[in-house]
Amino acid sequence: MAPKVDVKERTKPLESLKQADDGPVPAVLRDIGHGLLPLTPEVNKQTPAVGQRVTRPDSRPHVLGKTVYIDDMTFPDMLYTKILRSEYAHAKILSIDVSEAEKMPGVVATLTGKEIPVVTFGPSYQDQPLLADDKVRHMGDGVVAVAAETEQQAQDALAKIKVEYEPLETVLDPLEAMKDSAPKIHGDSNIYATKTIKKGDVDQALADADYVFEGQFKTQMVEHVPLEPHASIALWEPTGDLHVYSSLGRITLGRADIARTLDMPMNRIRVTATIVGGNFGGKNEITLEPILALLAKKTGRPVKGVFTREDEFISSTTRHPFVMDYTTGVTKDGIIVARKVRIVCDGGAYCSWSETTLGKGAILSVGPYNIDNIKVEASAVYTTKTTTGAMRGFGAPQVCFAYESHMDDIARELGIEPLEIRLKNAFHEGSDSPTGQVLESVVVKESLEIAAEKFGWQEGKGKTNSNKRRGQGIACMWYPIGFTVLANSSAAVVKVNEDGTATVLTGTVETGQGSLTVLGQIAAEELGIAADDIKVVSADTDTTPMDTGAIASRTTYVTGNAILLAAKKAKMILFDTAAPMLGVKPEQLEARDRKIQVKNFPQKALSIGDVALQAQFVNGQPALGSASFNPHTVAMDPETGQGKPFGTYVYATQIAEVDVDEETGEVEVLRIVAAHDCGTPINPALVEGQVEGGISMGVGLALYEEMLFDDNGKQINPNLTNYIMPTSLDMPEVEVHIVDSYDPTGPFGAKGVGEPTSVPTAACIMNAIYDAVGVRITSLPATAEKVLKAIQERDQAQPKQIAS
Amino acid sequence: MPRFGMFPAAFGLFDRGSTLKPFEYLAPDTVDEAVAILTDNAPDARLLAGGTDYLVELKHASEVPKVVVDVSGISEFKGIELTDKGLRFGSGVTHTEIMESDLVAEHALAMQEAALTIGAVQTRNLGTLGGNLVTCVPSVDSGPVLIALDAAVTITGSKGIRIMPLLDFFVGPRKTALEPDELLVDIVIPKEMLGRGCSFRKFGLRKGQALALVNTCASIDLDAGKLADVRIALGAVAPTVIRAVKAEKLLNGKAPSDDLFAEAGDMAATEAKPINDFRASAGYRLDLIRTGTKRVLAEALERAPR
Repeated sequence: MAPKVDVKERTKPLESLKQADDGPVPAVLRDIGHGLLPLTPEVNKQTPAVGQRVTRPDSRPHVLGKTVYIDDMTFPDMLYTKILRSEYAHAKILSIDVSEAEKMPGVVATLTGKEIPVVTFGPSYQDQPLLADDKVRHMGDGVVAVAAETEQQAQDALAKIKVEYEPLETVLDPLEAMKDSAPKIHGDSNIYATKTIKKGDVDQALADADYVFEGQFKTQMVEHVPLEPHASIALWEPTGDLHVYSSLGRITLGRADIARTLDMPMNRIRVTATIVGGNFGGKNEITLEPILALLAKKTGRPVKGVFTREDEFISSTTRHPFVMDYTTGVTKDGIIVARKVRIVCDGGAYCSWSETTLGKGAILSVGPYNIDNIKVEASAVYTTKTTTGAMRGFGAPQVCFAYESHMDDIARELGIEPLEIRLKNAFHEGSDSPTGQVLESVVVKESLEIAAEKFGWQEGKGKTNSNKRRGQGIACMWYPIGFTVLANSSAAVVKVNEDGTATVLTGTVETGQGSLTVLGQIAAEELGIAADDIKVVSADTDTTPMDTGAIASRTTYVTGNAILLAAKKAKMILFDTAAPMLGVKPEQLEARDRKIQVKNFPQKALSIGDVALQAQFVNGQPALGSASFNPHTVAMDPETGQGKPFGTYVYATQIAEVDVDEETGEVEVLRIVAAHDCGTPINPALVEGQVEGGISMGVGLALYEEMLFDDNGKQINPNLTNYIMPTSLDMPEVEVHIVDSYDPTGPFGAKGVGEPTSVPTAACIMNAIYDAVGVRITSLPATAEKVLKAIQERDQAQPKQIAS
Repeated sequence: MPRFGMFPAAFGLFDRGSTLKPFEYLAPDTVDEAVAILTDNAPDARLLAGGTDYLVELKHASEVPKVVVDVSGISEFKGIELTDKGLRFGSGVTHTEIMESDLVAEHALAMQEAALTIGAVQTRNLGTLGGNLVTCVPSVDSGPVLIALDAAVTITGSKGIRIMPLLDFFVGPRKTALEPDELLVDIVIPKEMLGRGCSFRKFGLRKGQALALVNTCASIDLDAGKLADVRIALGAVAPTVIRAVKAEKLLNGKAPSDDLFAEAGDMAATEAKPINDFRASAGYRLDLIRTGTKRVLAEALERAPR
């Protein structure tokens, strides 16, 4: 195992970075083009590579506006596609008539679901049609695709399509949908997945507990809102091979879905992911790709399709609304002895990733606490609403909001300080998880202590300020890395060039998080070279090896491990080459500072370039390695949920400080101090970026965002005017602290950080609101109107009493 | 000579992957040219200033007008200046220019408070005061301060020049007193209103780029310690910006106090007819009117010269 790498504390506090931002902005000179000048920062050339704040190779093109997204790409004779979507949230399709549309100017072809070889797809169940052919189950279902010479002509033709429907009864509330009397959306039951976790004897433990607390919590449907909507281009090579350019975040499985739906062999399909303009879990599924491929086949021309913002809202996947009932038994000292959780997950019209989200949500719903007696029952239910699927946090932000709000309610009733009750119950090294997994590299207590210290947490701090009242709230969480039980492997190839630089091939996709930078640093570290010496080639199914994709916070841990193992193999060839040159055994060598050197005798060394040259052109054995990695898991028992579902977990705490205006209900989040564990931070700057971005999503979930539906199941606010996301002005000051931990199974001790960053934010803000004005918001988002109503109810219930 | 051409092709912006339809584009340099173009083409002509509202509308429009007249190059529409009549804003002044103007800071600070709440930096750099007023949505952010400061607008057209109070210029949602061949030239805050205590507060669903749920503005004078000539303007609570005249009446001639301002807030709420929609209930908007009115009155008092 590689030695632990010391990572320096963040050397520049936010304030100094801000000052740097305030300085004079260097003018971008038009004649420097897009930057072939030697502008590589020194830090990219440093060894060791791990732990450096290496800058991203793609940042310069982004800032110069030179990044090519799908919408920037064009091919000769390319056509544009628009999709006609359903008029009803639930209806039978009786007939489709495209004859008038096909006569419209510029229209070259149309496509219906009946023309698609295998029309349905989905990661767990194949219940979702690419284009609905017999029934529509929500307003976002596509029914007909049109390809035309211009986007406008395609759009205009949609109005000429005649679809005859027989409307069916809709069901929008998941609790209603569970009833026998509810209209059935697929088959004969709307409950399509259930998860159970059982440990100990929860009923006995609740009966024996000193106190029992109950609470119900609800969350809303939210959208990922990537700046770049779903987009792809399909074209057929003269050889008869299909080439798809796509904004997909997982190309290996995307190609499998395309091959399945088109009934084609995989070797005839090439999927190339472009630079993805935001994913957050929303681009894990195919959308237009097979439709464009068939239109391209029909017309013999390249076909492009780009979602409008409205398409993005109504037809792509979203975050699941959860209804969560908690019952918790506690001793008078505040030790939790039993917890019962019931989760109903609004699964939307199709399963997508709901089955797996439900599993992860169920496991995490207990919280990062040692509880001996547990029962979790979770169900996912079809409704005639927008499909719910994978989204950053995968069920965790919902349950964290519930268990951490519930925790503060318990603490208050028992008169125990919120930080103290968490420290009393938190997991420790070797804790037994709800599924019976022995936990390692557990730092939830450390994260609580660091966050509290850096925040200046003390009970009853600064309370009031004219109409505004100040409050502080804490929330901690745990989050797994990688898929739940399912295999989620990655393969990688590392090639050392004859000058000692190296190229990494990986099938993962850069979706904005900086993963390629981190993966390059891992390869560089193992080879003893700098980040700048690495080129990472990614995301082309013809050239890069299998990868499960940018999902489940798994890239650093799983793909990183595969790259580490591949680099190790390449390094072994370098050692075998260098050993006779230096007159030692290969085991005595190490790769450091761009040299292959004898351990403890750094003066006895060769440059890595000289060794690579020798290997390639003298010995005829180029330094090349390929490897794969899959986290070790043990299947969960279907009755009790016991098993080892994940390779490893991360832990974090966030503390929010808020001002609540008692007369308007407006909540201003002033600052959030976040203490996150990610194992070894391969690149601390990118960890901080992830935390800041995750918190912005958490603030949106907490206070602003909600997809609204009318009684017919039509979305009311599918646009950025009326779907309220936080802007930079609504963001708090964010202070990031990386909690020291080391996971022996991760590359150089690293775990992951992408999703967990958005998990505890809503919970800590809700607890801060309670602290400020004494009202418990049990359903998200806490809009100003909702908070004011709660304050007014508080005043009616307890006139004159001022909340603490 | 006016610049002309087919937009957006003339700007190299048209491509097949765009839903923006072609239209004729004219960019006069003087008010006279603009009036002539409008006279010839009304009602099939539309005005374009900053374009922050209109280009969005055009992008999704099923039909485009015959002519789009870009008035952003007309020099008479530019500039903020102190004249013998008062503080004059050319209709083409951008929100950013208002925010950066020392004259506005000195004489009508609340105008800067309102300008800061409009859109994002890019919107404020392009969007104009005249455009904001002419678009005339109920939530028009520039409206309440100007009405609380009794501003008048100058309109020009083929039949000559008209001057009217801004309150009369706003006719209904997206409807102003402008005839098809007329243009808004400038907006003047009268001299006697300059420097009085005035405060603006917008309530939206978030801080940045928010659509107003309620806009509140108050301006006051003090006469021997008593409130005088109080003007309260409310936006987004009725089809156009309204004045809360009953609340004003309640306040005039009285010594200011927190209780009096709270009472005025309650009175103002009885004068508004806010809508009930998915953004907020009418009840919540009324709460905001009460609180907002009370607060802008208190702040206007703090700012009033004694």
